[in-house]
Formats: sequence, C-alpha cells, structure tokens
Amino acid sequence: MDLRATLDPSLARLDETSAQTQISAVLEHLGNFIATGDLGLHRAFLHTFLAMRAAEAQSPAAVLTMLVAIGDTAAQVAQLDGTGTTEGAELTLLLTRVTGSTARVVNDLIAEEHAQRYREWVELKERGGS
Amino acid sequence: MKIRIAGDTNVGKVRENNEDSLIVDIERGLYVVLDGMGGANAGDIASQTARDAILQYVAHRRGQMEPKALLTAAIQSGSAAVFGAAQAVRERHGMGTTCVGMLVDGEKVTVGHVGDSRAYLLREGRLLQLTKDHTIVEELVGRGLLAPEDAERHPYKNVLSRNLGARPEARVDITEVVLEPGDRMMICSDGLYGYAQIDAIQYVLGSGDAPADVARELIELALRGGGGDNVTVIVLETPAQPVSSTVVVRTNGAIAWWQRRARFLQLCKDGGLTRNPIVSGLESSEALELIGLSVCQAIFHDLEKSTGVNVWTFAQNLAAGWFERDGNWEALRSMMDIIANAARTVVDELRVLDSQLGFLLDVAVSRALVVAELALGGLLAERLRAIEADLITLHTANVPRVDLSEPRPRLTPMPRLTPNPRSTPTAEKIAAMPPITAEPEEETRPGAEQTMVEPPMSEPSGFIDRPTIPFLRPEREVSGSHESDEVMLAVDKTITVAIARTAPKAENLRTVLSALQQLAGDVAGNFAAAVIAARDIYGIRTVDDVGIMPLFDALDHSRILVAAAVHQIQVPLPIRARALRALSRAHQRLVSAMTGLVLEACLPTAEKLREAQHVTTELRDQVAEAERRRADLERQIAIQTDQSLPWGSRGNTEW
Repeated sequence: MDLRATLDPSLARLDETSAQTQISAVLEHLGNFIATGDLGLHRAFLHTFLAMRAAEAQSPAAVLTMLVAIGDTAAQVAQLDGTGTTEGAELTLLLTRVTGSTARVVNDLIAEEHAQRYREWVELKERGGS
Repeated sequence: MKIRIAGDTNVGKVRENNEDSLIVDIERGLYVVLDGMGGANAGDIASQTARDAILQYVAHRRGQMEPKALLTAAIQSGSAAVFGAAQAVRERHGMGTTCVGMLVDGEKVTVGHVGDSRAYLLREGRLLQLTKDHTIVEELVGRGLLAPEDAERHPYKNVLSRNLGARPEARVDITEVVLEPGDRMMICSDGLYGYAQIDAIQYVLGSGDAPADVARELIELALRGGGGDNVTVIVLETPAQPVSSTVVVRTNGAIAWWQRRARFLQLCKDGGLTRNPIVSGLESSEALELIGLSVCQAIFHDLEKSTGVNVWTFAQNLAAGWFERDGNWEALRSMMDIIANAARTVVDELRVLDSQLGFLLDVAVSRALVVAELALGGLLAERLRAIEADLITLHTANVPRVDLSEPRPRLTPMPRLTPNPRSTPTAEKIAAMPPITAEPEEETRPGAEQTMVEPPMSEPSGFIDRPTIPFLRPEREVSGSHESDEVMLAVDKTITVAIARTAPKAENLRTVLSALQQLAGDVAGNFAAAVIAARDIYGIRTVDDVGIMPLFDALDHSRILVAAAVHQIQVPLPIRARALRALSRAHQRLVSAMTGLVLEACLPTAEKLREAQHVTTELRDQVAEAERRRADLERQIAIQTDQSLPWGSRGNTEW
C-alpha cells in the first residue's frame, strides 16, 4: 500500500480501501495459484479481474501493468524477507514466474477480446456493404 | 557480526627463544600481543607474567566494567605483575614488555597499547596505523624536535619511552574502532614491521585469504626480511559485504548468458522458430539471427545494465511489425513461447552447473520475459482500444436518431480516423483522401475511403444494450445523437482537416482530436463519455511534468487546430458555428475530465503536503514560543547583571 502510487498510477487514483481490496484479491489469488498450480483457475480469475477493472474504466494495459507491479513487488518482498534462505530464494523465483504467467494469460485474454471485436467489426462492415 | 580471528608467533631466525606472548581468547573477545625484554630469559617471563595477569583480570571483570576501563585496568594489572616479579628476583630487575590488546564487544573494538607493538586497520584497501609507538624517537617527533624522515635512522629508535614493568602503573593509550563489513585488524610485535615492508604487509593483509593463512604469511614475510626478532601477529576479520545479486547478474550472469547463445539459438531452432509464420520466407540462419540472436542480445544488454529497455524494444518491434503485416496473435504467441522456453532451458542447464548464479539468472531472465509480455500487452491494448472506438462509432451510427424531425440518411459513414482496425492511418493516408466537398450528397456522405454501412433496420436494439462491449456500463450513454447530421458532418470534416495538419508523431494530439470528434455530438452533456475518453488518453501516465505536460499541450494545441480547421471547411455559416460550438463544448468537457483525473492522481501527494503543512505550522508555533521564552530569559539575565540599574531593579542574585 505504501508503494501503490509508484506501483501504478491507476492504483494511486483509487482510495485506500479500493486499492487494498484490489491488491489483496490479486495476492490471495497468486497464493492460490502457487498452491494449486491450476492454470484454468488462474485464467478464470484474471478474466473476471480484467472485466471488473474494465467496468471501472481501467484500460487493459493499465490492468496488466498493475498486476505485474503487484507480482513484482511481492517477489521483491520475498527476496528481502528471505535473504540468505533457500525458501526465500525459491519463493522469489516462483513469484517472478507466476507474474510471467499472469502477463502471458492477460495478453491472451486481450488478444481474444480483440479477435471477438474484430469478428464483430467485419460482420457489421459486411452487413453495411450488402 | 561474525568475526574470524587467528594468531601466530615465531621465534625468528636470529633469537634462540621467543620472548613474545599472545592471548587469543575468543570467549571473552580478548586478543593481546606482548613483546618481552630483559636479559637472562627475563623477556619471556615478563611477557608471560603480563599475559597471565591481563587474562585473569579480564576473566574476572568482563561484563562488570565498560570495555575501555576494563582493558586499561587489565593492562595496568599486567604492568603491576611484571613490576612485582622484577622486584622479587634480582636478575630480573629492569625486565618489561610491550603490550597491544584488543577487546572486542560486538562491532566495537577497544584497542589499548603500551610500547611499540602496533595495531593496524585495513579498511577499503587503506591501511591505517591505530597506535603510536611509545619510543623516545616518536616522542621527539611528536614534540617537533625531530623530523619524521630522520626517525628511522635515529640510534635510539628502538628505545621505549613506556613499557609494562618499569613502574607498577603504566600509562595506557586507548582507542576505539567500530568495525565495518570487510574490515581487517592486525596487532603485531615489532618483529613484523621491523623486517617487512609496510606495502607488503598491506598486500598480504588485503589478500582475502583466511585470517590463519594471513597470519602465517605475514610471519613468513618477516622471516624473508631477515627474521631478526621474534614475530607475533593476530589478524581479525569481519565478513565482507556480500556482493549484491544485482552486481552478480550484471557481471557473471550476463557473461554466462552470452556464452550460451549458441545453445539458446539451437533450442530456438529445435522449438520451431524457423518454421514460425513470422519468419516465413527467410532462410533458417537468417531467421535465427533476426529473431533468436536479437532477443539473446537484448536479454544480455538488459542483464548487463539491469534494465528492461532492450527486451521491451525487441518485443514491441517484433509485434508491431507483425501486426502491420496483418499477422495474427497465435503466431506471435507461439514465437514468444519458443523464445521463453529456450531461455528457461538455458537457465535450467546453468543452474545444474552453478546453482547460485543459475538462480539469480533465472529470476533476471524471468523478469525479462515479463517485460516482453508487458510490451506486447501495450500494443494489444492499443489495438483493442482502436477497434472498440470503431465499433462504438459503428454501433452509434446504426442507432435510429432520437430526433425524428431530422431527416435520417440511409447510409452512415464509418469514422475516418481508423478505417482499418489493424493499423492506424498515417497523416499521408489522410492527406491523400479526396478533397472535402462543400455540399453533402443526398444519400451518402463524401470521402472515398469511408466505408458505407447500412443501418440494421431490423435490429431495434442499440449498441448500449449489447453485452459484447463490457468496457462500458449499459446505463452510460456513450455519445449523444442530438446534433444534426449537417453539424456532425461539419465536425467530421473539421477533425479530418485538423488531423491532416498534425505531425505523424503527434500521437497525443491525434488521440485528443479523435476524442473530440466522438464527444462533439453530445448536446446533453454526457460527462461519463468525457471521463472514459479522458481515461483512455490519460492511460498510465505519471503525475509529473513529463507525464502530464505533453497531454495538456496536446489539449491546448487541439483547440487551436480545431478553431483554424473549422474555417477551412465549406459549409453554411450557421452549420460552421454550430460545429465549432459542439467541438468547443467537447473540448471543455474533455479538459475538465482530464483535470479531474490529474487531481485524483495528485490526491495522495496533496494529502501528504497538507499533513506536512500542518506539522510545519505546529513547529513554527513551537519555535515562536521558544523564541519568546528565550527573549524573556535574556531580559531577566540582563536585569540581574546590569550594574547600572538601581538595586531595586536588579535580580535577586545580587542580594
């Protein structure tokens, strides 16, 4: 929370309660993903998260930046807290990789959304041209 | 702080017996070197007597006295013991010993000495002598009676001015050192520095070898220098500051990565990089060099400089080029996966060889891959935004007009700004558009590149009811449909002319103009649409001059451009006036929404500023109060001490 303004301006614009809710939700889910390794559940969460943030008029790029920033901060905290321990090192690596998976899934979701829009655009264009 | 310490002593090459003694008491943190002197084997008895007395004193009083007093008293007790022993046996009269000792208490080291045994500190490569020899010559130098350069040649250079045993009480010089990571301390008898060059001592002390090895090497140094005296050395070492992981990645990590580039390229090839559609038409070697080697270099340079800019640029160029060629996401995703898998395999193989370096490189390379995904995400989001803008306009155009008094045209134009959702039109394309005609045609609007869309007459539901656009709330009206078609056409023309006048790189300005076009048709003042447009433009800016000023410059510039452009379109004067008014209204709304966003972003800082102002006010009040009290006290003092005042006016102290 202390770093939220530097993490991402979209988090800085939120009031403290909302920002905490968003960060907590992401962190809790990252914990679940590390525990279960369930990529389907991960994807479902991110899909919902993207849609909810979009309803709040946050762009997908801003959401992606925010998710990566939260994951990166979590990894840095793990690195600092676990300095010199194997567990700390492994958790740091795990969180970094999870952040990578998150970014990958979010990009896939944005690309799918784009593909859907594009199909709609083509459909409307063809209808208009007929 | 975990300290390593070791000591060693040697009789030398000339003497028959070792008159030096030492204490290495790790439990009590006491380390002492003593150099005895006196005929008939009295030297070794003196140093051993002092050693035993000091050890005993510290053993009984450690923890009861503060280190400075304890070490002083312990050394004095050694002096008393030697003096007593010398007095007891006639042959031992005049025996004595030097003494240099360290009492370690956490990070603090108390150094006490009498005589010419020395203590040194090696910190950050510099060797400092902590003690000053208690010799006649040094005393003369200290008083300015002898030049330092003459001291070495002085016949009395080894004659001590102080030692333990000459008198019951010795004058002990004490100094304190707070240890820092990487420090090395050494105490020694004159058998070391008398027969070894100080530069050589510094070199061995700073070698990085273990203290026991350093102590042994120092003694060998003295022996090689002649070994004319007994040599005793104690070396203390604090652990060096661990090299940060960032430094390791920048140096060893980057090199290790680059050394494995051939393996990386092979893995890329095995993963199917050369068969990916992105590199179709290229020779296998060309494809590997163009993509594989480029990304390998980008990762190397980012590791070397702890940045992500090279990988970011690589990913953005790769994706932008591919999308420009109408490439699909699947091929790009496949390419990125091939690269990521190859990179991870290289790192995994390195971890087997060097787990520590491999781990650090694993984290760094994983972060580089995250950066690549971020770059792709920015482009994807921009493409999504562009096509949504098209869809919004398209859907809006298909909604039947509310104002039925206006004749509804049969065909409605697609927006000019992004005719192809896969690419943003360049200024040249816009400039190449057919000239704007003065009069709108009866059934169609002009513009050769405009796509004509038949409104879906059989589909009564408007865009806002369609659930396929989740980025807007259903209750929000996106853009008004209250301006007449003539006015909207004039607005379109104005924006087209304005955009054609912008530089190709003026992305902010073009985005703002596009937003104005969308907002201009809304007479009712739908602020939600302005906020959404403002949020899109604001993006993920930072609240500083670099982030905000270009945006407001663009807003300002757009106002000027629109005002100029509206006079260049050929429409009736009232329509032109209404178009200008609509655009001006849209501009005001956009600026207002943007200002709101900036204020929101500034809110946390503003709150902190207010808190700081509050604290400052309180501190000022306290300072003012203190000033008042000080003035009052000064006045009272002046009254009490001013002899010219009558008695009755002076303070009570006079009485």
